[in-house]
Amino acid sequence: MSQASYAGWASMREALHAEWTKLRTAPSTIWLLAAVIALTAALSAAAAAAVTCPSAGCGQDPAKISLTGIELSQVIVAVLAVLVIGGEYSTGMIRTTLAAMPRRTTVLAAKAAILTGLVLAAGAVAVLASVLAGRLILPGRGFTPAHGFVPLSLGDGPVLRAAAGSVLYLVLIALLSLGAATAVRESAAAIGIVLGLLYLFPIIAAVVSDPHWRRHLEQIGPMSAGLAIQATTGLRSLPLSPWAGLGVLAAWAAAALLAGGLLFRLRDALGGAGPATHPLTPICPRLTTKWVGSPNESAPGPARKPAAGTSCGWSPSAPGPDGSPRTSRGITPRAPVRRWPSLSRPTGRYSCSARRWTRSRCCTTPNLWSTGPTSGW
Amino acid sequence: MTTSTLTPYRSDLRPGRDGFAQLLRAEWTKFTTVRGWVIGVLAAALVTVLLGLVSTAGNNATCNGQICRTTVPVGPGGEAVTDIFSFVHRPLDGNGSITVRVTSLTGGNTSPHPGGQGTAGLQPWSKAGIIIKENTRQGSAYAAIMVTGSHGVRMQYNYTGDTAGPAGTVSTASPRWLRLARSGDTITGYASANGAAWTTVGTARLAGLSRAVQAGLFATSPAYTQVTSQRLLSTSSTSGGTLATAVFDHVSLHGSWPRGAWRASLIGGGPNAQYPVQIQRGWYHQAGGRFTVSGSGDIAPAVAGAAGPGQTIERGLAGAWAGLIVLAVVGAMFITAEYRRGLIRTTLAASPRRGRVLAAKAIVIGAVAFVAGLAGAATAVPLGQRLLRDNGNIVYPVTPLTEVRIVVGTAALLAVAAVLALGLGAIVRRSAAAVAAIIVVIVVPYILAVPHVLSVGTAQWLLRITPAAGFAIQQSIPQYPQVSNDYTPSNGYYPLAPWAGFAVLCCYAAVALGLAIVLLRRRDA
Repeated sequence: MSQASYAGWASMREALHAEWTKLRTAPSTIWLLAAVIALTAALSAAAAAAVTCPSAGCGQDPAKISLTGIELSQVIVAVLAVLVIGGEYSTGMIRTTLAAMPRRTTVLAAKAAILTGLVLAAGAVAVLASVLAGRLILPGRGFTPAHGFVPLSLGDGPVLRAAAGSVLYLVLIALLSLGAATAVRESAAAIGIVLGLLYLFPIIAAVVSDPHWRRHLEQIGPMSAGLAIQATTGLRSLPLSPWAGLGVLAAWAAAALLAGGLLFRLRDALGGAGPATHPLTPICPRLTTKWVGSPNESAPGPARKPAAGTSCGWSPSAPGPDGSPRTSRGITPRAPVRRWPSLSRPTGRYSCSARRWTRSRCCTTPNLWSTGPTSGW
Repeated sequence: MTTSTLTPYRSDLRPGRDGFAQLLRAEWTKFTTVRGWVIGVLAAALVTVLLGLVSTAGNNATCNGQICRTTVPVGPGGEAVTDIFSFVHRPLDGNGSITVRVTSLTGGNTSPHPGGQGTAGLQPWSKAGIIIKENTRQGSAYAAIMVTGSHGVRMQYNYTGDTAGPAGTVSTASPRWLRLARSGDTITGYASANGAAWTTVGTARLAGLSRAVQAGLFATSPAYTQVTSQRLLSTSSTSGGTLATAVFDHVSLHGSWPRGAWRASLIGGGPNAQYPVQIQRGWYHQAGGRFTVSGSGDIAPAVAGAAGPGQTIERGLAGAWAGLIVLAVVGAMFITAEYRRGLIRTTLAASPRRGRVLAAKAIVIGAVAFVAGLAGAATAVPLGQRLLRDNGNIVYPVTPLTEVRIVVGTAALLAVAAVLALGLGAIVRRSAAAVAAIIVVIVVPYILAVPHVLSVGTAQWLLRITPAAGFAIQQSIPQYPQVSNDYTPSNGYYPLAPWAGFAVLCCYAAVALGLAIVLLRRRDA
């Protein structure tokens, strides 16, 4: 029992490590995270510079103004989160991932954990920069003690709530996007769904004149509800209280992750997403990932050491573009195999011949789909 | 010498198999064989209708707990109008003129101002002066010359006409003399500071004006709207009626005025009208040659939003946003999926003229999006209109041509947006980035254009220079400078004229497609 739980923990740890390596080595990640920070800070500073408070009681909310950038940077966060899994589907990497880590819940949990960590870090920097910008700019725009405003400070309870809540907001948007992308397996569709969910509720609410309808729409919309966390004044006029609003967004994120996780477990990872099954795939010899060797895998029993030369790789239906047999490009398990391929559960560690877990390069032949026309096959 | 009988080889196949029609057919086949895209386009039409219905269903007008059965008067030009004012009048049978001196125009609220701070008082477009009107029915033709709260002397006619006269506010120290002269169906307005030197302010031709009309003094003042708090896309405001009181003297009549006394009528007052308490107490007073008239309401075209009583027909098209997002996803994937699956190499091998490939793709996806948008809009607009009416809303009448422009324009908007997505997708070759970019450039300016999120000027510029300008094609009723209102996109107003806004979007699509063709030619696939 303890061994099993140890194995579970070990697989989680390795999944985390793998996901971290994948995300770290994908070139888009660092740019997207930098864009989150830069866009948040820039738009927040611009919003702070554009607003004025000519007299006392001007009804402005300085904390919310200085956190305006979140409304744009959530798009970047959504793109980042969608690419975490959508990128794997688009390159076919997902099959390698699932071959190496067949516990799909673990894979998704690891992705969510790594994503949460990254967005927490970037969001914290972005929000700190925004609050600092607001603290420096707003007093010059009329938000002075004479007009009833103290400089923004994280020591102030509501401001701290707004700032910390904005970071959590970004994290929840990321998880919502991850869940949606896992469910639809297609980056573009996932981005469309997530941004549609975020922006359509406020647009519909704006053209609805009935105050009850409007209030309900604002209460259930993930963006309008979640951004309630940024309000520090006029809490009474909000459609729902700040933490309840963040709770609504958390419910959306949980629902998306649950739906995505269930579909992830139930569905074939290849269905509809692999190059071989898509209608737009040019006709060419079909390549399948296939376990070579190892008969009797499904029989339960003591772990067996695989025969020498056993490897996971391309079935040699055709030689590679360079003429080499494809089996030599596979991954080699170092540890015993228990059941394969019925539930796909090798517990061993796989090493990658390329040593890098970039989305497109690990173990799959790197040049198969991404370079120029191949005449040989 | 014998000539060679060797003839060169000729294929038996018919020539012309690589024409543009073949290319179109190939792209059409690609589109129809991807189930997700076909479903996506059908879904775009469906969400356009469904979300449109949801947004119209949320507009209920209740009167005393029941669905309203109100109607809106329609002016001579066919547009919905507001026609509520206090009228002190006599019949004018033929040609003639009326001259008065206005010595004061003051204002106040008809209800206690909530919050206690700030006063509404006299509005910029509070107005009082002299008017010649077909009859006392709402919506009948008129021409009037008036002093206003802060827009000087104006000559207005038939609700939409508005000509500026001498500026400045009126007071006992600087009174204004006003004159209206009728000759046939032409009415000319004059203004003067001293009653001696007159300037012509404007001339109005009221086609088909009866011989016997009503003419006299009027006063009215529109409701005020004050923003109390603003959140993203949701601005709360307080509004209330205001009252304008004008003092007239030196009233002189020339021409064919039948004998009789001045009559006082509240125009727009039906049997159930709720008058402000000040009006109920008495709004007309005459002593010697001095008339004091108080009024509340407006003589102006009706506008959408807080300042108007009704809804515009494009309310039913709120779902076009959802349709646009879905079609942008399909449009971007129409090219990025080829890169992802490697089909682009086959495509370009089969048709090496790369520009034509992209042109064929644009035509196919544009046509598909247009048909989907047309189906969605042509269903959503009449259904939404009906739903709005059933819920007791006044729907502003528009000409059939405008309605066609809105429906076809929405379809064209979705088609051009899909082409723009295709161009962006071909440029960046990544579907997620292309879709996120197009949603941000179209949706975010619209959301930021709500007043007080950005300054009004910035927001208006965003709606002029970003692709979001294309939604101007949905605007059904024009913006009137002589009516104070929140002229924002959520109320259906855009800074650019309908076709100009659409042209901005088309420019973006053309530039994106052109850049995509250049890059496709230059880059290795």
